[in-house]
Amino acid sequence: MLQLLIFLIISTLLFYFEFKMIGKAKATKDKLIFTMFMLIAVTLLSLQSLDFPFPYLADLLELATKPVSNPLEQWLQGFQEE
Amino acid sequence: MIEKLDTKQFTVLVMMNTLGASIIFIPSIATNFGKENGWITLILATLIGALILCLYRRIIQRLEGSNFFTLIEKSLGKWIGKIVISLFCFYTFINVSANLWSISDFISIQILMGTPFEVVSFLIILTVLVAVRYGIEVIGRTSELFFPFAMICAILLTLLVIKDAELTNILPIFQLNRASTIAGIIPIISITYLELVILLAIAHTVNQNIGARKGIMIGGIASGFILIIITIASIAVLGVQGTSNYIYPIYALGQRINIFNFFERVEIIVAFIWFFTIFSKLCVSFYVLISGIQYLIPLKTYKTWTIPFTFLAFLASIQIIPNTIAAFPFINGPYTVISIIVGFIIPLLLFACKWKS
Repeated sequence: MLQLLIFLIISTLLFYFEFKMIGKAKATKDKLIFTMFMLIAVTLLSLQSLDFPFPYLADLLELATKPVSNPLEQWLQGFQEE
Repeated sequence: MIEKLDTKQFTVLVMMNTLGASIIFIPSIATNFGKENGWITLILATLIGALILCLYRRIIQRLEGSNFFTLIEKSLGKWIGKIVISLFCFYTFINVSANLWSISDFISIQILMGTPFEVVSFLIILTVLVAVRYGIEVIGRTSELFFPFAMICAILLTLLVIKDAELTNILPIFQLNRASTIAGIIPIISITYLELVILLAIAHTVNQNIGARKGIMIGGIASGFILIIITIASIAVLGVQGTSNYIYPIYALGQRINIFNFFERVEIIVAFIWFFTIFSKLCVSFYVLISGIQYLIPLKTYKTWTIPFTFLAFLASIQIIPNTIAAFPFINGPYTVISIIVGFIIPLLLFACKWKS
């Protein structure tokens, strides 16, 4: 919980300073996209620190490349066991 | 402001990127496959890597001042181009996360024992964030500054363990495990030379096109040579079993340094090599990732993208693989596949496509 709190403080500070800088440039699109991506990133990280069961990226990649990566991995594994 | 790199800085970036994660993992992977011929696997990988570098060299030649993403879009058409750029960005994101995971895992297991992985990873990505916001020119100059230290540490490491080397450990030469010696080239290429595709996205920032072409060839081959030397040292000193059993064999190599019983436990020099090279690699990969995203969704400045992606890369570094043991099947399987697609098939496609002017 303390980790999450520290992280939220850091992200709020970073958000505040960056938002102020974008504000000076008068870029509405930039502001919108920045806020949206920050919200996504902070929400995902907060969920992760609350032990939300996210899948591992390696598992997702394995799922996506399964038809090629599985035979390749097994083939290479065979050489390592020799 | 237009940012520019000179040939030397680009060559250094190529070397730092090739050595990045590989300097610490390669001896173990090569020995797992080739056993006593692990160093031969590295020699063959460097030779094949040189061919891949020739392909990259031709692509740099085609850039002619424009950037890599423009080349993709002009060669493959607007929509296919955008899909390919997205795939390239995804690969770069995976690369950033995997490298961030590997350095944080190493530090939290070997050096700062007890410090949570998340703290180490967050501090590193925050440092990378600062570097990326300064721009590629500053990253190039910083790498140029760090480069001699990394090389001195690598030379010191090799020289100081020479007295413990037993040449019988690398014998017989190419008599046994021939097939596995050759098969080992695939994962090695995927975590060394194929990752250099990321550098194509900064090749247009080099002062002269010919400098970038020279830089990628010289840097790539020189780092292959360094990897060969370090692998030979690992096998000769630690033996085949030792090198393949250690996750970080060159760290174990550093632990063996003992001169007259007073100069010992200087394995931290290994960590220095890795800190410098992987920091440079992380900065370049993260910069390229942000440049790619900026190309797909243009904003007034690329800096707007940096903070959200810092957090996303941090999250991905925590969620990329469950533990160190899972790293090797990941490298042998999905990572090799995606590396071949992005690092070989896409450049080959670009090479085959005629530039539509």
